[in-house]
Amino acid sequence: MSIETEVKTILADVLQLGDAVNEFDTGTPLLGSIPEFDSMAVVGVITALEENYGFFVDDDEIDADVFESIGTLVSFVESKM
Amino acid sequence: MLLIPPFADEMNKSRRMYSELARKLSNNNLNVLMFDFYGTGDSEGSLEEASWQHWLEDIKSGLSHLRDKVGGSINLMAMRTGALLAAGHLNAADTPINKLLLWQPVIDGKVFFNQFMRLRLASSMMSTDKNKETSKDLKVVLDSGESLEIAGYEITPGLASRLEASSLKCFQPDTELEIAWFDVVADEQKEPPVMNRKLVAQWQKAGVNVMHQKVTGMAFWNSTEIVEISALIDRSVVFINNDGSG
Repeated sequence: MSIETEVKTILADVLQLGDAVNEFDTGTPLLGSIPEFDSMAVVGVITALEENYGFFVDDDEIDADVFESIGTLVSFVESKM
Repeated sequence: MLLIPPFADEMNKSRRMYSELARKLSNNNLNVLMFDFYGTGDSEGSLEEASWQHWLEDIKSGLSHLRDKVGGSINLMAMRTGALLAAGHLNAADTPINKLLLWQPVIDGKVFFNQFMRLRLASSMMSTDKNKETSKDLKVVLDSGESLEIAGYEITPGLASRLEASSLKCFQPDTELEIAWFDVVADEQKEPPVMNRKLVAQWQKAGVNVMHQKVTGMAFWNSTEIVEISALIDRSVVFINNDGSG
């Protein structure tokens, strides 16, 4: 599975988006565009990424830019691996 | 059988799974005791008055209640941070238990607490403010002896430090103890986290009787909606019922 697909699966799990994620591509905006994507969801996504990939995310690595779109989130995950 | 709950919102989210497990087990003529730790859920006291030690005492009194009322062999079930408390109890216990059922146990209390602190940091993480609150700031507050409010939970420095110091890596299960460890994975292709597999392998090498299985489903302890994984309950009941012990 590509990282993009994995990230989409994680988003679907945490935000309970169901099949809607199949329509997502790297350009799909996240923060401020998906109603379920609030700050609690951000926490859930970070934790799920840590558990899935086994890396550790420090607070200062995270800001709104990381969660701008599927693409920015995928790049962040790639930078951690 | 005693069911040890997880912590904070994870406890609320797993409530239904716990009741369902308790119901299924009692349908199989098992005596099941569910409780909330002091200062949490429906129990008396406030979280600020609670302590890790008090919670270990809660487990102890739950078990002795079962021994007095029911007798026979006693089993223990725990999930997430409840597993850290179960391990803390078993490390010090002089009366052995028969089976230990684990659901997605937290291995390292420190990692868990860091993730928990994020609930408070979430909004500031997203802000562009240069002076935004970080986990270091929160640690300073705790180190100064003050409590910290995180997602509506009043966390005392004592509770935080005991939680952070707890790790399943410090737990050497008795070789007589029969353990089933279930991890929930999002889809069938996924494997449980590497850390979990490593620890299970270590235990097995040391002669511990532990079965590690994955169950496909959603992380019900931190999902937005309340979800159930009936396969997890069914397989847990099979594990407990095996040999017909209570």
